[in-house]
Amino acid sequence: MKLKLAAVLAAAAVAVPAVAESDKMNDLEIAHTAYTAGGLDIRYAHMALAISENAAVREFAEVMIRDHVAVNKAAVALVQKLNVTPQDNGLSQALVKGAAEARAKFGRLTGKAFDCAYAQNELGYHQVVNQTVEGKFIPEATVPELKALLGDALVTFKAHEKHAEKMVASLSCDA
Amino acid sequence: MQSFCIKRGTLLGAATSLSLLLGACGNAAEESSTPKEKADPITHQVEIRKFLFGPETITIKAGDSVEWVNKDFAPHTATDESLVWDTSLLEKDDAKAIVFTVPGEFDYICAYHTEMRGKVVVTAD
Repeated sequence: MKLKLAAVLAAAAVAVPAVAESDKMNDLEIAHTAYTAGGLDIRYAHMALAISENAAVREFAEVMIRDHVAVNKAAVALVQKLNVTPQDNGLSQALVKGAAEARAKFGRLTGKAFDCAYAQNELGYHQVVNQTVEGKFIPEATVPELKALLGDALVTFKAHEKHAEKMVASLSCDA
Repeated sequence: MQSFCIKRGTLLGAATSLSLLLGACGNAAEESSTPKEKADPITHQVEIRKFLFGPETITIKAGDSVEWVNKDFAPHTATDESLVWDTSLLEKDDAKAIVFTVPGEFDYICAYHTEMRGKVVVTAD
């Protein structure tokens, strides 16, 4: 599957610069970006727990922290086992920059406005991440253990995407 | 292996007629009945993988145990819908067994991912 990553990222609530779809990433870059993406979602979740009073939003945030911490812990264990150092790259940097902008925007919101912004961002974020993991990271990863970890992580992230869909629907943000 | 034991008995809230007993698993009903030959209790395994309980429905005999083993990175639980029993958080490769002593059907979920559903069917010994 040829992933139009730039278009996907541009469509996401998280603003990130375009990354050429033909840009191949090596295993160390993939590991770095996957870990970074998880860490950023943990930060969004902590923000949600600090601001939101909505039970569904708070529950979702708690799940994000619990699950992404677990996946990132597995990633760290793999990196240590392989004795390698993940490599920073343009996509990781773009994700970090986009997330900082999003957090700055969310920090000015309260109540339902925050809940909807967070929920919609989570849905978009997971859609982007899942398409990227499935369409780019897994096909391009060459280390079997990394490929397996990404495959397992994708199952978790897809569950998050479905959960985010339900959260967005429950908030009636368009009403 | 830490395990829990459930039996019919005191009320736990208004929603259930079961009680969760920690530690001692004596069963008053069994004590008052005529002793008979019983098969040794069996521990059945339910694997949690890819956000699914496998098998989704497991049928066991009263006195048997179900052991849940989490193979996902994400932490999960097996939690009775009526909150009578619960494995508590299972990290990857964690396992916990629960003893079922009373016949019945027990629907359960993962407390963290409530779309994950399973059932334990306990038949009479």
